[in-house]
Amino acid sequence: MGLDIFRHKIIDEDQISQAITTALLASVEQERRGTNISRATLSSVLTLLASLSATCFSALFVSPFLEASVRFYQEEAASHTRSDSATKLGASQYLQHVVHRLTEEGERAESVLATQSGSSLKGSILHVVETEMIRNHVENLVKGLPEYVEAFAVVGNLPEGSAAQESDLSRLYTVLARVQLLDKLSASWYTYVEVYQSLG
Amino acid sequence: MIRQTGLTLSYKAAGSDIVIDASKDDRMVDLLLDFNARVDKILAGPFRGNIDFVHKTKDAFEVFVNKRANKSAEMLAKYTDLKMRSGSKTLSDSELEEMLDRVLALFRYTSGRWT
Repeated sequence: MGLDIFRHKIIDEDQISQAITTALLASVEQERRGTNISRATLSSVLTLLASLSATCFSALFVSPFLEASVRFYQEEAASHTRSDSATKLGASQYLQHVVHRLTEEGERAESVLATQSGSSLKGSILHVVETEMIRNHVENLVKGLPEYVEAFAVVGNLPEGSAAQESDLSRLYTVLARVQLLDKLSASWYTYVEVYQSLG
Repeated sequence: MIRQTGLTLSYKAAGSDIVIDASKDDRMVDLLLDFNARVDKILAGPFRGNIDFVHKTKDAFEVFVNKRANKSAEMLAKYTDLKMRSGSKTLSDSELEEMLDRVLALFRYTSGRWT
């Protein structure tokens, strides 16, 4: 009952609800860009919103969050893949960056909402990253294949359990498996095995 | 995806290059064995034994191994012959057997597609 009053009097005030949404999104973006934020505060606000009503939570946080995340990751992927971009990354760096973002987003979602809302949020945000950074840039990821195979010749000969065992080749497979695009990789692999000539 | 390298082709050259480049004939089987071993390691490791990748690999091997009609079969036969004669002096029985198994795996690709 107290929460209902709270909801009606405060949350339903457009200015307040918009301010809350803006602040939440700004917080997440700051952390994505490398600034430390208060996870405790973020977690408290989100937990509160989630306890009000599903509609409230969705309207004030989930929907705007996912929309903003799509834009964020679209821009980020473009900045790292466009040939004229100052922050363009090589195939291996981009791949490792994708893995880093997936881990970061999953961890954030789990830590700020330790409930069913949390795992649902995690699924949704990971889907955004997968779409914007992997699915929409498959060619960029796959073109690194010859380079990863050469690198694997080194990594693959390290003793089992060695820290550097995780290879780009393995990451590439994992990342494409997530978006059901392994057929792109197997086609590239076929071409590699059949015709590729490495540099001397 | 084919990149010209200039004068010397790396020992790590893949597929067709090993079979087509006549200057490599004396090392062809060694290069093929090495390549096959690396490929197997990749299939088992990073590619998690995914059956689609295994099939694609077999398809690719069948194509490039047969690129110079009968040349690979000839080289494999010579290699086997050589190893059988000298190998029994320098290799143990199990080493010899293992080597023959690996050569046989390559030999199978040269028969062409029967399925």
